[in-house]
Amino acid sequence: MHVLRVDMTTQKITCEPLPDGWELVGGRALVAKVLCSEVPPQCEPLGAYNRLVLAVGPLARSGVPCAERLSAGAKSPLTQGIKESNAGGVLGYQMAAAGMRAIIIEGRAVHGGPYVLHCSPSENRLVPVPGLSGRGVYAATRILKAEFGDNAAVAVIGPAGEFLMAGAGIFITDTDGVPGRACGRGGLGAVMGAKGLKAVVVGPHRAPRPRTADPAALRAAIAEFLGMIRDTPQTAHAYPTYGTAGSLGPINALGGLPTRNFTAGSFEQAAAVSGEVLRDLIASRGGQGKSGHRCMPGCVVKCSNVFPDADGKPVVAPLEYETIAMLGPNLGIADLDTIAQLNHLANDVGVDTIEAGVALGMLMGAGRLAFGDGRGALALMKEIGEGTVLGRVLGNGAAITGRVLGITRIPAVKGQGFPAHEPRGIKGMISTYALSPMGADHTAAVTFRADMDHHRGAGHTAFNRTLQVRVAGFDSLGMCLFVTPAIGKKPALMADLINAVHGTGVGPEYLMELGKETLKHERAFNLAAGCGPDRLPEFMAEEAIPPFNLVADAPGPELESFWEPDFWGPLPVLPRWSKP
Amino acid sequence: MIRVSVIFHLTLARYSPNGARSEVIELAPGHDLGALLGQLGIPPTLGAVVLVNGRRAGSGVILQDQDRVDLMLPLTGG
Repeated sequence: MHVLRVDMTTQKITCEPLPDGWELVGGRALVAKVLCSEVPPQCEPLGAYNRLVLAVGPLARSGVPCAERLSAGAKSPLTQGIKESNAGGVLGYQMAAAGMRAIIIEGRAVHGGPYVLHCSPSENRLVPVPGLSGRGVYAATRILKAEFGDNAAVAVIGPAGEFLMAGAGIFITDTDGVPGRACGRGGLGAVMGAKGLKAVVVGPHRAPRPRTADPAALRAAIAEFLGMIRDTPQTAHAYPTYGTAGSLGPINALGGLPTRNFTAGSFEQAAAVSGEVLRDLIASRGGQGKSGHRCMPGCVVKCSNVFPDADGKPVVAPLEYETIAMLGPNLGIADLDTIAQLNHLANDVGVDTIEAGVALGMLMGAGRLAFGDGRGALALMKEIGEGTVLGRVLGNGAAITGRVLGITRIPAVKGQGFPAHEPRGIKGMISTYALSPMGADHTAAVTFRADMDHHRGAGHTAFNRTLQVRVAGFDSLGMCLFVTPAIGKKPALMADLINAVHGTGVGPEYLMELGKETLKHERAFNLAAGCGPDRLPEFMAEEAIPPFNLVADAPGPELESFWEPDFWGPLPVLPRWSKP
Repeated sequence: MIRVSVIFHLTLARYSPNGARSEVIELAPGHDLGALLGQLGIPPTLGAVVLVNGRRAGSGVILQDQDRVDLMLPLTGG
């Protein structure tokens, strides 16, 4: 395995062997290590000193199911701290097939471009493709496939990334070649755009799968893994049937569904946009619509879908819970067709649906657009891609939108907008949003599944810390988190899989050790970068939301205990950087 | 008798007496949640999560007239 290093300033590409001791370092852990050793924490996120890291996990293309997620990471222009955002799709698999654990992109193109990094089986090269400038994600992908081959994996940014908007994401092609899998959060698309890079195209690589250390043990561990997936109702039936949208009804019942700019936790028309309705609509329209879709090779959970229009033609793939909630109920919109169009447009523009949903909700809350005005929301989403002044404001996310419009009620932590697990209705999320190094990012620890009283503010932080550590472990292995309802029953299985692939001797506690080490690096980077604060916006502690009249009321001392040194031990020491 | 609204989310619709996602079920006063789940045939090993009036509830909770019971398998969003 190797690391591909691409210097955009000098246009030099080098292939470096994986550093000693990095055999198991991948995904989110690799992002954290590279940022802590190579990026000055106080650097300008959109400048030459930041680095964009694309990394796969150590189990990618080993035969282990669900292990080919791609982690993208950099210093975030949104949070000004470390950011890792991971997605499915086929790029992770193709990178592993090319022998790459990671691609590190540094510097900044000084002229020409925008550039495409093309990694074919014969060479790695930077290609200027001026015709891609300003192209939407879907059109750009069509051009790239025509140029570099239909079966290549693509990561691409839209106009939002080229405009350096802090809400811009990176979009990855799925198993159908559709660029709908997003490393959406934290403005990583803007980091890519700032480097002058429009796309990364890898493959198709068809090298034989490398030998694993113990094929018999690997077969046995994978069989056990698949058995647990089959025996768990969520992974066997609920995810493939309803997708992540299946969580909308339950979260609405709990009072945790962001509604009309976070003024309520339950939407009276939730039944119109639920996972059940989504599934029935896809089935009744037929055509190319599909539930139980695989977003990446080796996926056995199949939570993805293809949402069709009335004629059965694809509108967007996938249509997922966070997007439905943030572009639906949070905007007072109760129509899946409108939400799907908004999702398609957001993807094409290249902006994160969560950040855009929060920003649009704030605009509606300020009375500049009526709640429920789908046509108006579509026009504004289009403006983001056109780069109008208002479009640029919205595309830079919730915090900038608030500042420009004079709104002090900003649903964001560390500059990043809240996803669709309202922390007043699901109070375990208070710790997730306040304390994750990622800012308001639900994927850092979703507490909704936990056996707890979600309406009680106290008593969640210790559990939340354990969950954040476990999630960071899975993210560092490149493993899809949706296997956890099944695999969570036997953590030792992850160690068995790793040992069978790599011939290592890690124990059952390895996943937690890995997660802890990763979080310590992320914390150290954020402290050095001055990224904060570790708290929710004030209005969430003061404004009670219906239907259960809840505020975000976790006790301060409990939240402060999250980072207590007795648990974490000493943080890594970062290099001293002289000013550029 | 008391009347309780039961919402069967996602795959739990298979436990609905008439196949509908929402049912009003009549129970004798003093009925607890565990007895309702048993009556519906939901095995404890399924890992179903139950909310009573929007709040996580244990099997010993005594149901009241007009209560809303949500039966679900919790997923995570994407």
